[in-house]
Amino acid sequence: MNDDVVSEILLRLPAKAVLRSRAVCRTWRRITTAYSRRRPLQLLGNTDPSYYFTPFNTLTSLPATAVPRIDDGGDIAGCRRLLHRDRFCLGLEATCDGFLLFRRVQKGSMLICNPATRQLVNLPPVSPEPSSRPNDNELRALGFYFHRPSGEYRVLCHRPLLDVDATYILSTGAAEPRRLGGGPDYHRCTMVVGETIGDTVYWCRPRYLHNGKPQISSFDTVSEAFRLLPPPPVSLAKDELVAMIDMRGTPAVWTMTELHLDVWALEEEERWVRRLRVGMPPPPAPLAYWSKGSRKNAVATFESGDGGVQMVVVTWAWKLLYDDTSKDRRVVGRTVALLFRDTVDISGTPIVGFVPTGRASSGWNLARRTSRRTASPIYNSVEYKHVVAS
Amino acid sequence: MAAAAAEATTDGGGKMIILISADGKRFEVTEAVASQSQLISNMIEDDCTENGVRLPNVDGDILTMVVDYCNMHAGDAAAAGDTMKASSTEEELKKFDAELVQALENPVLFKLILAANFLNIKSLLDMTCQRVADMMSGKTPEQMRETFSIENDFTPEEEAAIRQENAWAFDD
Repeated sequence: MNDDVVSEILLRLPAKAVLRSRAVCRTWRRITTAYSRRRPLQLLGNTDPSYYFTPFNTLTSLPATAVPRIDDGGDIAGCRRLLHRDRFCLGLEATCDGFLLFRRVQKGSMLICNPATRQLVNLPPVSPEPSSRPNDNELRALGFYFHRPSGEYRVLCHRPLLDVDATYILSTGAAEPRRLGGGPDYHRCTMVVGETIGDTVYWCRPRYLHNGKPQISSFDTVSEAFRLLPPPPVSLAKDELVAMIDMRGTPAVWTMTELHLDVWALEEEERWVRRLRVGMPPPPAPLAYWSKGSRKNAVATFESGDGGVQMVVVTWAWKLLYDDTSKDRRVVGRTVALLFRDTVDISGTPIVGFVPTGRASSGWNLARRTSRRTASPIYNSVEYKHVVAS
Repeated sequence: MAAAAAEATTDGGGKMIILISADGKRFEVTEAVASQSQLISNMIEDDCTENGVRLPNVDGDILTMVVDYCNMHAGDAAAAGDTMKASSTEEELKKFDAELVQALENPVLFKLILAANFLNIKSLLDMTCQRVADMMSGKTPEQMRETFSIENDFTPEEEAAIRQENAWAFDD
């Protein structure tokens, strides 16, 4: 068999088998470690399900093959260590177009990993405050986005323990971090990574309730201005979850009760319109569990092939797949273990979902869809295979 | 004679093409069927199929399977307009595909993969490679070597180091 054919076969293996195949012979090792131009990410893309249910948003939930070899000193050991459940030194912060943004735990720096080429790019570090403890300098991302005017990938970040009124912009094209003001008051307590939709990063904060309504704010990545947006007309019960999703380019929020999933889209002139209401299947256990389990709920959207929106809904009890074009709602499976919200976020909330692999027998994948900027030569698609049902 | 046959047309209007296997067996297929192979499709575009297409890499037995596969799947595109028909065809196709690869011994399956790769028939390549990948996925490196008749050319130290790199994959 020639290399071409062997790689065709190896490309279709799940991560664990790929790693095993590296120990077969030199040729196979070369094929499985080399950057493959044709379908680079399929070698990387399969996630071992047992590593999927990890509570920390670290690289443990990514395939081992996504860990690049890096040669910047002490980090080699660190990267290897990511594969163990209980020790880690990089935290996955966000994803954008298939790139993964990591922070160095307890340090003031971040890096971007391209799992397709297994390359890492260090972002310029924010200099530590001299008098501070090391942990205080840890950077946390607020947004990870593609800056259209410059063609750079950028990170909006801050040091939650140190900076009251400063955020920073790190970019692949600049040698130094750029300091930005802390933004308006409403922005200061933002701790989560926002959802990038088009040229804007959106945050939705349920905890800082204002008359029971979530607070929505935005950051224009081009003008670098923060804004407070009108809240969607929903009244949230205490602890009820609400989060931003991308409805094919339109910012939206979802809320969920034991009966319905509602999606409110921010239409033109900043009007909130209820785009859909999806009935939930009856819960398999007493309703009382709902409120306890609802913190684990998660919704992710991805574009379906026909230009519509498909949605993956994960609750403590169910995994559902909803197709907005056909209005088809399917229960993909009972949730056997709780899927942590972070874990769903890991795989890139804007473009993630359970999708059929195209073969009847193989069940469902948790996958990142191909980037809309398909012109990007280094990224085609990432698939995180996670068979949940067949 | 071959030239005459190659220029014959069927009621369907498709031009016929002769495929000639390594051991000289001849297969007459329509252009539509043959052009599922990207290789042959390119040849048709370049107008060099008149005297039959010689496939020195493909044995007659394997080419029989490939032609069967292509015949089966050529209907696929034709029926696409009629959804009812298409869905029933789809099921039949799946069944046909499954039966085709399930029954094969490894050496034959590998030959079929090589043929699909050489002829550049993407769907057949997908299916056959996936079949092999499925077979491999639970195997240890030793079992993989056995399946593919591969000699271990690592030194014991090298192999140990590779296993150490991603030890978790070699657990159980």
